[in-house]
Amino acid sequence: MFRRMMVVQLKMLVRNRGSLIASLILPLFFAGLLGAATHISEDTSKLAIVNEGGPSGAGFIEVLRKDGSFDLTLLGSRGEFKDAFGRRKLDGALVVPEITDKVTISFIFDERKAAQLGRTIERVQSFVQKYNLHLAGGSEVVTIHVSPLRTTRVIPPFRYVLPTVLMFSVIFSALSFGGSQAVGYRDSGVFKRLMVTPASARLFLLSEATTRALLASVQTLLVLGVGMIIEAQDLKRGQGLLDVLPPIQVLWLIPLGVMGVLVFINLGFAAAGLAGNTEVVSSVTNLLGTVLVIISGGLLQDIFPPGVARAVQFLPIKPMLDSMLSVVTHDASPLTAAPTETAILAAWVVGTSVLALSLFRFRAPNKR
Amino acid sequence: MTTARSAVSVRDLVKVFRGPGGKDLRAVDEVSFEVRVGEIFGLLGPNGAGKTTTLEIVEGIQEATSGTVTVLGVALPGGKGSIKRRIGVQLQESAYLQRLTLEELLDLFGSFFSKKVDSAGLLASVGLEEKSKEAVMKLSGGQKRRFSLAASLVNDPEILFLDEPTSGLDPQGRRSIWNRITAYKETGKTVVVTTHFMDEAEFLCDRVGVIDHGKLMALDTPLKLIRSLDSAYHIRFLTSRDDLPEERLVAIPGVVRLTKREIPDGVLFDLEIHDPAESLGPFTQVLAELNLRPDDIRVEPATLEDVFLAITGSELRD
Repeated sequence: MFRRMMVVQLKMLVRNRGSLIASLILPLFFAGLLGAATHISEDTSKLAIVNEGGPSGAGFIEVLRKDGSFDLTLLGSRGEFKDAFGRRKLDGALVVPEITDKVTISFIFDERKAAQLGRTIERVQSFVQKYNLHLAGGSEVVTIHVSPLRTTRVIPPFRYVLPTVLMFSVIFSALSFGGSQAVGYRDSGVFKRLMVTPASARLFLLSEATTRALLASVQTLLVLGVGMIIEAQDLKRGQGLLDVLPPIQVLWLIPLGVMGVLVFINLGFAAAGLAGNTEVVSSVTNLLGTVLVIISGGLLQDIFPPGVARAVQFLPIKPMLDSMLSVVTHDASPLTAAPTETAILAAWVVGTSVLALSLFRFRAPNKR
Repeated sequence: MTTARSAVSVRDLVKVFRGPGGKDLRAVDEVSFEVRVGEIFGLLGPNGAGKTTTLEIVEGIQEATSGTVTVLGVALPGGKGSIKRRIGVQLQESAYLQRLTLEELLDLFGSFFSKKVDSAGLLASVGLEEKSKEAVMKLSGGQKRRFSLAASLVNDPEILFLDEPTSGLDPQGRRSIWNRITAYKETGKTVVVTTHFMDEAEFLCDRVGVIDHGKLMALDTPLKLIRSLDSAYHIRFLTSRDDLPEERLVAIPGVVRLTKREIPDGVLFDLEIHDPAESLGPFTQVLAELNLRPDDIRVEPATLEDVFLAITGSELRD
């Protein structure tokens, strides 16, 4: 029964061309837009510098200044970072130790601005490569240690954008069906027709959620494809397309996206269980989605009181974004890279599933 | 009491809805009836009478406020899960997943049941075999009603519930549905049908319950319901004369009531009588005495509409 229902749901999804195209085009649009934006950045990156290396460190800083890619602010100690980042004027900070045969320079960034860091890290990496090549005679004198991401490799800027693109596509996909279409089915009598058969509302929810999960997977793969195309623009001589293939771990974005879809679809179904008509469900789910995007997406969180900012960590979007970001930056499974965030997201999936199954009915409340 | 040959038993059924302003609306009010195995049972009444609500409670879609309902020996609402496997339902609204074809929909509905009738045969039985690959959204209203009937038969149900099965259909469409229903009955199955068409109830139903304002007003075979009227027949005649002595017509033996109505072709007289055998002889004699040769004269039996009007004292509200 479930298999048949699934097949039917997929057929309807494919035949509803308008909705399908919108579901697939929108994330591609975001991917293209934001991906392009990662290639259009300011001329210079604003960096704070702490010189812990005395004269040799000062020499390195002077070379850095002459590079022209950075707008440098010298700080007296690491203790001033917090205040400097608090004013939100920096793209990152460097701690320069004494320059010896083998030295690691720490690159520190504001975690809240991680998604915008791609270009800055690229510039720093590029500078270090030039420094090693031209000033250190080709030996790897200086390496960069990026913290708190703890990675020394160059991460293509687009991958920082991926979580945001997927978040939008998840919310759009879930809300474009979710509760409002369910209420539409209910109002038109489709559910009533199912009610006089042994089919259950639970079966319908399950098959619909599975279909949407499949769609979310396709969306994620498409966005990754667009990402590869964008990253391919940065191919250097001697590099092939394989060089822009993301690591296999990036496929963990698929289950994370699916979890996000399930949360929002479930919320829509729960709203449909309580609301009497399509307009109410549509308004409630859109409002919910918009509010969550705004408070979780980094647009306003800097101005939130600490309590609210902490609470946002436990809302569904922030853990989804953070666990996705961890996957693309650490090349690891979400359970390894962001276990807490993944657990919070999983808890949302379970909680909203229980809510949807409890509240959703084929028949509207007190419907005559 | 539920008998061994009872397909449906409804006792003291009440359904109350919370209306606007918190006022309770008693949609079904102490309704009791029994449907026998193998019969076509009709619930007749105007729109809003409570017949659909009654039917939906019996189908397990709604729950009663009070009263008992037993279907195929199983009490509702507790046993509705098992009952849904054994009944077929055609709802008043023909709503389906619009982008699926007729064949796909029948396959989907068939997958819900352990017993499944061949889709092609079902479509052929309602004259839709050529539309099997078309989406349901492309069907006309009449075709949708016919498809809806086919979909209700997908599990070869023991009882078929039909809610206004021919509403909005043309005469050919109605006749096609009627034929399919009677063919189904001939296989020994039970049919419960609601309608507000008197001719439909008369044509299809072995027994009819007349329902209005949520109450079951009468229940019997169509013929017995009609016979229960004071005037089971009408003598209707048309004449251009409007000076007939009405007292002579009313004095004819067996005449219960006389009404007359002016129409473009003349004056139409309607004599309601008990029994044509009693009244026709004296009637022709009066015509001869009055030297009256009507332009048109008919002797017609009363209809269920007459029954309904007699019982409720109101016009049908369609």
